[in-house]
Amino acid sequence: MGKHHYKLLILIFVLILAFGLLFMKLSAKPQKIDSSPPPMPVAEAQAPDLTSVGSPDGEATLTMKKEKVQDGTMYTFFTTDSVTGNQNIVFTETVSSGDTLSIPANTFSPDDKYIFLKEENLGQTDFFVITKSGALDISRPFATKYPNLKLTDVTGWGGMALLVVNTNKADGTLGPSFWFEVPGGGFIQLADRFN
Amino acid sequence: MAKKIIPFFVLTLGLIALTFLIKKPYCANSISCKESFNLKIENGATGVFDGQKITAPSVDLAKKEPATKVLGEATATGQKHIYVNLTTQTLTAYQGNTLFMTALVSTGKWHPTPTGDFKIWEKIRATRMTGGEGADFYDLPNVPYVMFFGGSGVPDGDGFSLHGAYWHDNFGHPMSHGCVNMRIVDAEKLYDWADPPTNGNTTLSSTGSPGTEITIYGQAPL
Repeated sequence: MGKHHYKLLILIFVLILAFGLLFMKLSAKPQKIDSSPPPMPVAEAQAPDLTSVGSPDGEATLTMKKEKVQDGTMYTFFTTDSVTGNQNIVFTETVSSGDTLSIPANTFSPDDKYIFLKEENLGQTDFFVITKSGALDISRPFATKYPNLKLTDVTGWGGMALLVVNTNKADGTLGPSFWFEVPGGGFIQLADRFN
Repeated sequence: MAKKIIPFFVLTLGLIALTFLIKKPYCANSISCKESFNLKIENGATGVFDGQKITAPSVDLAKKEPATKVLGEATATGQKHIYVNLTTQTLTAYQGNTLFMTALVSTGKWHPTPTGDFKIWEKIRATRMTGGEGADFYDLPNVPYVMFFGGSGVPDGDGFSLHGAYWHDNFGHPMSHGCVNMRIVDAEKLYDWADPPTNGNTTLSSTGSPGTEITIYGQAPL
């Protein structure tokens, strides 16, 4: 084989390679060229879910702000003074999905010193009071102290610092009512049932 | 001497005993059944409810904020009527077919709220209310926005009324000694709307200016 033959073989090889590459490129799916700018990680433009309940004397409003966050839902509770308009965050909690917080209608104590809130999770209902010192649980201490009764509802304030707690007996019939005394956290069984 | 004194002494004791034995007619909100029908402002006074001492909120007669008219002047026409549903513990007020307001209330727990058709006969900006016995004794100064009503066999003097309540926040549940308790903001709104039109701090109805009719019905969840 002469020198020219080698050159010819290399030329043929290079041409086959070039054609092959050209064929591959042409047969590849054409890609869309997106002229729009890449998506930015901006927050979802969604109005926060707000619920408000006024105090019975009209001097304040409690607002619940509900926002979706990565791990569930973030609840922020703040009061608004009806005269000055000043807002004050009183409680914040992030709960997992399926857990909800709400403001009962009679949330404010008569002197607006305390508020109570309701938490529901998988059929379990808990109530707690917000004081200047923080959150005071009602349901768990009650269950510990009265294992034969089931706390069914906290309806409102029977006095300046007395919450009305209603119960059922273990057989499902109506149980007695109690005062829950804030800020001491004690329960007082009542002779009358508060319906 | 002793012969003269002993009969006198026995007679005096008998009269005192008789006074206690004669049962007083029920009066919803007053020991005297007179006291609470007059304007009485006692700022700084303490009261009693459910065995608890309570400081009554102050009443400022000079301060009266003009009602906010976000939607303009009221245009409803027709008869004003207040309905109190004991079963649901709610109040609704209409002028003609137009709903004016709806609110949670607390009606009689320790004494029933009467049912039937009534009329407001007096409106008082605030007064003191006392009544009940033993553990149920209450003595409450500065009870605001009081609207006394009578009718359906209930004399005006029995002292039943719609009024604001500052000593509890358990509306939607029976909590009173026969009256209709309302949140102060709701009582104020109703007081300003209900007839007779407010004229000063004590307003009496008359033939020319009758009180708004009230219908109370249902059965309280006791």
